[in-house]
Amino acid sequence: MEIFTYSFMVRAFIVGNIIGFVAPLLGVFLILKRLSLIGHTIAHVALAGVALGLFLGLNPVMTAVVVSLGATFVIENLRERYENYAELSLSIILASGLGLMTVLVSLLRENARILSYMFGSITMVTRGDLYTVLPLGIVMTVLIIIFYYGFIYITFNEHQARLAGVPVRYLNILFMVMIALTVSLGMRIIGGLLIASLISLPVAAALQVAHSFRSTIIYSILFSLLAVNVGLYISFYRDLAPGGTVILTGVGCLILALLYNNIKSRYFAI
Amino acid sequence: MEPVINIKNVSFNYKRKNILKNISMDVNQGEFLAFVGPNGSGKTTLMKILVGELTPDSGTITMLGTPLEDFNSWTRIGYISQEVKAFNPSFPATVKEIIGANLYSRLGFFKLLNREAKKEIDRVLDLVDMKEFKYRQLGSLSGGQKQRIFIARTLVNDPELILLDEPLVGVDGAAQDRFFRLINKLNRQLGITVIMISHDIHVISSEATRVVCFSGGHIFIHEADNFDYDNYHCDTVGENRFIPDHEHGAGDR
Repeated sequence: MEIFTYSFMVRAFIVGNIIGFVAPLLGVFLILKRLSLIGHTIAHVALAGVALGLFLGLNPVMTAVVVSLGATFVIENLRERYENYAELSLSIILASGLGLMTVLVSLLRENARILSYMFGSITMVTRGDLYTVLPLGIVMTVLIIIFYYGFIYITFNEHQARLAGVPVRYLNILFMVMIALTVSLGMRIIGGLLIASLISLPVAAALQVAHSFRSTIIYSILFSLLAVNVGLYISFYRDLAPGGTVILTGVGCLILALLYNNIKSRYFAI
Repeated sequence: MEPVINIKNVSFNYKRKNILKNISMDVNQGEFLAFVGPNGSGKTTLMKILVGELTPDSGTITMLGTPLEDFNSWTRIGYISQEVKAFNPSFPATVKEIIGANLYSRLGFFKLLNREAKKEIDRVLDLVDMKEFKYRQLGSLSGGQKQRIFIARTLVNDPELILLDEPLVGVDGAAQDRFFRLINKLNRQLGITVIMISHDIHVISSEATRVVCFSGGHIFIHEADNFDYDNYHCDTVGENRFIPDHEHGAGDR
């Protein structure tokens, strides 16, 4: 396996697999809350954070994390104000993020770096990224396990969850923070414009084949890891943008899942 | 004995409209109260106030001995809303997962189902006669079956009080009968206090101990035995007989 003789590829595969594990794990809850646009919104805000970092000469991933964390609190606040128009809070923040990013990009002298954050790059993954993503991936997985049934209940019905003693507000904020961190860190390899798709595509495929909440999570992670590994492999040998190859492999998984469901319901329906 | 709920001078306004005007009443242990009245008369509003989804503009409520604003033992109360009509039918959770979620406050540090929780789920599924549906997705069940699962979800926490908001909207006749036998069992055998919003005279006459009529922002409380059902049998829609608008005499509160 020539591909693993390059240390940058080994780092890319490790970071890619961690993001590929965490993104759909959170994505299941996000999609079933019908808030799949949150991923895209935070990704745009995170890109504005990257542009801000590059403009100020700071670490762009750190500024992306800070800016997107700030945005999650504003989204959560707006979501409460516009209770019956949850998606409105997202379009407000998405527009603000995109506006800020455009202005900052026009102020930057060179655009190559911001482009690599938009579309992802295998060579950009550093050892430092590895040391950030690995513990965060573990922490986020443990947090999901700790609050597993709380997150399920909030996803199903927030009002009933509160009556069952679930700390709804606290878990909603925690969840948004986890989404912001996943998007900001996943941007390095998948790209800011595509990371949100890794949150939603595998879940869309899993929903076609799963028969319970737990199996939806398991299938989502399996589809996502398949997309990440096949996508990175193709990206390396064909010299293509990794984000694009990963996401297109994810689309392939979704098409296969749709076909499977179609054939199953047509020919094997009970 | 201290009432389960004490409502004192409660008012609630929505967009300058007085939905509830200075309402006062007690609900006693083991009672079966029927809330009746036309749409928009405040039945659901009062129920939502009782479960903390809405806050009254004035007045005080004591819930199970604690002022409502300080009340946090929500698992002692079961609330079955019109969720059966509203929830996403393609939500992938199984019956076991939906009921298990209601055990949240009783799970350990890791909020995963332990052996005791699984036993509890089996117990309540047995109680509502739905044990064989444990691994089925909730969305694949009929309206009546879903409603029984929501009852089971409530029962898993051994509530002292169950509030039901028109629980049988969209549920067929045979399933309604099974549902009422179940509610009757919970009320008479287990002593659970029940408050139910319903328009169905058949249910109210056979189950309720008191009937609370909502009209013009006020409530009028009738002892179920004295409630003049015959005069209210005039409105018939399908198989259900509904209580029409009616006047209240000085004897009513």
